[in-house]
Amino acid sequence: MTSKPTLAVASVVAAHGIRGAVKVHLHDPESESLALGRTVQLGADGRYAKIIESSRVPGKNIVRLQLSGVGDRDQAEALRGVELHVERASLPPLAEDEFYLEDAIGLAVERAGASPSLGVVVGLTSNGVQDLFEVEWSGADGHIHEWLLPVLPQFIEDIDERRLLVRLPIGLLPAALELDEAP
Amino acid sequence: MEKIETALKEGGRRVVKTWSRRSTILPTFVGANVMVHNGHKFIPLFITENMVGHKLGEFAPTRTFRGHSGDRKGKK
Repeated sequence: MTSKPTLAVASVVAAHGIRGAVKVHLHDPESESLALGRTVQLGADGRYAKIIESSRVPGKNIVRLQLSGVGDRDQAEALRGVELHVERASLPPLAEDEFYLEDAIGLAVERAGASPSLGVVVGLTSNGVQDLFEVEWSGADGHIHEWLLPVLPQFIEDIDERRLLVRLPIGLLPAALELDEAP
Repeated sequence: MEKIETALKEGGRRVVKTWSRRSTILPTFVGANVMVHNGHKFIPLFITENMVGHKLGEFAPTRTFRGHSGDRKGKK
């Protein structure tokens, strides 16, 4: 899989207090990636900092962090908007049937069994309860069209470095991409 | 409602498109694949037990939301 060595797990939204603490917004509300003692990278090419204190704000998707090397409010304010990256190697290993959604972005989508490409995954959105991949494909008219692929095990058959193999019910795809017969 | 129940009888292999955002999700809908219109396009939704009693429109947001994947995982 086309995997970057780090994953962006959160972004700094505000400074907290006067001792350099920051509030960060988690991209995944259930993420445990900002645990005490873990090292994070400030920005994709930024410096590394260790998490000295970590506490979850109750009822919110926010974590308060004290990072090494950030000692006052001015330094904390300067981090506003910065994304925190965590090395994949430091995260718990994935189960055999799991994959990071980040890895699917940029992959071609193909139907199980020989068929032309159904497009390329360009982003991630949600219907409120389920994640959806945004898939773009260029139609016969030359225009770029988009369809949404639910990130559910019954629709995703396999994923590798090059493609995302899907098994879709009739009607999910735009009419131009549908097969005449049910798969 | 009839369309969803028919689709379920066929083994859930067909997606039902609907504009009816005000329809309540009934227990018989669980396991169905529907696409709910949000005023602009159809948003896919796989109905689960937790959604029973809610309206279909609650699961088809009308504003654009571009999420970050973070360390979120999917299953295959």
